[in-house]
Amino acid sequence: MEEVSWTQIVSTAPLETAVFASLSYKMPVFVGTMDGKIWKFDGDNVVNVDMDSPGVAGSAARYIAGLMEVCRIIETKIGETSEKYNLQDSVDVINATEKDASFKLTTSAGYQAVSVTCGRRDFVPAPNDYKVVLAGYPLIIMDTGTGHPERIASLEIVSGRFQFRQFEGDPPTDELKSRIGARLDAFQNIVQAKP
Amino acid sequence: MTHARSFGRLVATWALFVVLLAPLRAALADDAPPAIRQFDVPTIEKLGREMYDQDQLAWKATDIALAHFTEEGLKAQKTHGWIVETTQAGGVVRFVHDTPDGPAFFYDVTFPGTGTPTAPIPDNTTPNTEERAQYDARTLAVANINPSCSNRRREIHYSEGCTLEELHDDEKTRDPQRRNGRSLVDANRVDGAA
Repeated sequence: MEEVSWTQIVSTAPLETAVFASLSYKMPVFVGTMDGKIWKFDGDNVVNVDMDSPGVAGSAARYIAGLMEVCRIIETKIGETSEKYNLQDSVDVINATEKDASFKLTTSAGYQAVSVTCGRRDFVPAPNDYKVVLAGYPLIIMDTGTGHPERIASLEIVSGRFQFRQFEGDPPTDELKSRIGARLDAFQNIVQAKP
Repeated sequence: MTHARSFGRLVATWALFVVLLAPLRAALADDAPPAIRQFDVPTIEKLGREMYDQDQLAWKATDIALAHFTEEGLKAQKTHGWIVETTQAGGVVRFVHDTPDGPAFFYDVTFPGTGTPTAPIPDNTTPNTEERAQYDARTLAVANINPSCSNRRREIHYSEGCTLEELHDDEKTRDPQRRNGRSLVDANRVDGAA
């Protein structure tokens, strides 16, 4: 099945031009808006989808979320007594973890990664973010979604359990709490199911 | 295996990231476009469908007009676009040309609900108020959009950009069944296929 995806900056609302595009191309169109939402246009039927949607919709939603994230590796020189942090080139997290069974990083010679930090349009960890933590790196997520309060949190494993520790910004809304809780439970289940 | 990291270290790396992300945030804020009109989803669905239906009529009518006048003939007529009027039964595409008295209709392609389109020379060539407003809106949009919408393509104009449909040089490729080489140029589009 073919589909077309793009991100949209002019509005956080769906636009009629995407309906037109879907009807013209005769295929579904997926559009990511800067508030982190993903819209599916199937002809003149417009619905919200998300990264957990089954099949093509979920795959397209993760692809678009991957396009919109800005992630960097923060590294430090091995053996240096007073740690100084070095910012490495950008790295894909959502799209890399979609493809690969495990997350791998390449650091500069003589340096070790301290964490992976991502600015994203949605504060809730993505479905495959657990791979970053299992690779040994805390994943810091900063919410850059349009209209969202600034929030920053770190996804880690502490005493064998995933946690998402927020250290800046407004407390999460009930909706966010629910989605974050569900995501952490899913991560825990994946890890516990591993042999 | 998970590396144990102290909370303080995380905060330090977070602080660095915040500093690094600040210019991005500023850039995003600067680039934030002015708000455009917001419609509910059913309205968006209806508008998109109408846009598509009008586009279908426009490209079919363009083929009929080209067959009747030829491309050179349309140029000689000082063709200056068209407007589409839809009805429950079908629609009419009214081609406009420049005259000393202003824009006027010179060729109508009428699509009945069923049957063959008819293409009369209109008796009344003067646009009424609503038709003139449609024409002026199109003219204003053409004058103010990205020049990527060239004369070699047909466009639908709207507030965010335009759609393009290639006009092929080869007469044979004007077969409507082959006119699916269409691309959408949208001011907000930043990426391609998944």
